[in-house]
Amino acid sequence: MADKLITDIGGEAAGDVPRDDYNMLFWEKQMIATFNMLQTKQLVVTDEYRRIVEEMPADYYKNSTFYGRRLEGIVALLIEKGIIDREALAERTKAILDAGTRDHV
Amino acid sequence: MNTQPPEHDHDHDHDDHRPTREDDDIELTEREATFLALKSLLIEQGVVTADEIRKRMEFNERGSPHQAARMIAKAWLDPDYKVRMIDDTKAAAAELGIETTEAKLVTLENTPERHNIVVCTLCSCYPRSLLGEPPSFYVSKAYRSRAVREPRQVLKEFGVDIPERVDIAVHDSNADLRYVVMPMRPAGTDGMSEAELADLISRDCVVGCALPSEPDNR
Repeated sequence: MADKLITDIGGEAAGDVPRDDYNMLFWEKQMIATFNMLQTKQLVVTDEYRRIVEEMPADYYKNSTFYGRRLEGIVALLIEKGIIDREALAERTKAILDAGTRDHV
Repeated sequence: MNTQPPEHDHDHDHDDHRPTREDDDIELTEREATFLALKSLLIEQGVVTADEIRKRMEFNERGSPHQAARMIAKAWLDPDYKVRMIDDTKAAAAELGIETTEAKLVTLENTPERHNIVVCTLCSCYPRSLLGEPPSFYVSKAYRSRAVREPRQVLKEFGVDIPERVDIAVHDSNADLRYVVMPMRPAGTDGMSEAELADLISRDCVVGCALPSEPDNR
């Protein structure tokens, strides 16, 4: 039998289900909308996103958060497809972090 | 964060002390910075426009538990609509002017013999057009793991006691098929309007993790 996918956790033992609700952050809403637009334009399809999450290292997946995975997955897919350049993204991210403000984007 | 400002009259200018962005008071993280960089590159390269993202955010905001509640309340009052909703949930949503982006939506009716609950064990498939973004518990690994194995116990921890004589059916969503649970109409709701009934139906009712409120216990 093939190894289980890292996402295939249905039926496993687990602790308490967290009941606190966290509102989405503004950038998380923007990210979901951006992802939706990429889907609408058929630049990314849901099954590709599913595949890229399934390929994440098991340890990373285990400790990842829902919106964190969403971001990592989109970035990895867009780099893989040649839509986004890895270096350009790293450079831009650093510039934004160095500036420490959201105002210029 | 994101608390609504208290109700007060609006004859004075208070924009100067309201945050202009929802996350104004939260430090910029590497993750957010990565997204902002990605977004600005996508816009610069003409892949998406800022306006498209804005409009899509507005569209996504329309998805809220109130949409599903409206449909269920109408179904409680109108047996013909209920038949249509069970037959074709997307078409029934369209009747109320609700646009759905899901490939397929299926309504699961709770009965005295069967209680339905919904999970997405692989990730987070959820009827967003009718409920908005999923709650934290729904996307948690603990819920995804346990809901299929011990649903009765999970519901109990949520404060929902389903008697042993009632079967619990667990439905695992996927990208192509998402579910809406139609709870049973609570007793003591005769004569209530559609809007009043809709108020009894919470988001968690629609994934089977809560029961509708009693009329005078909202």
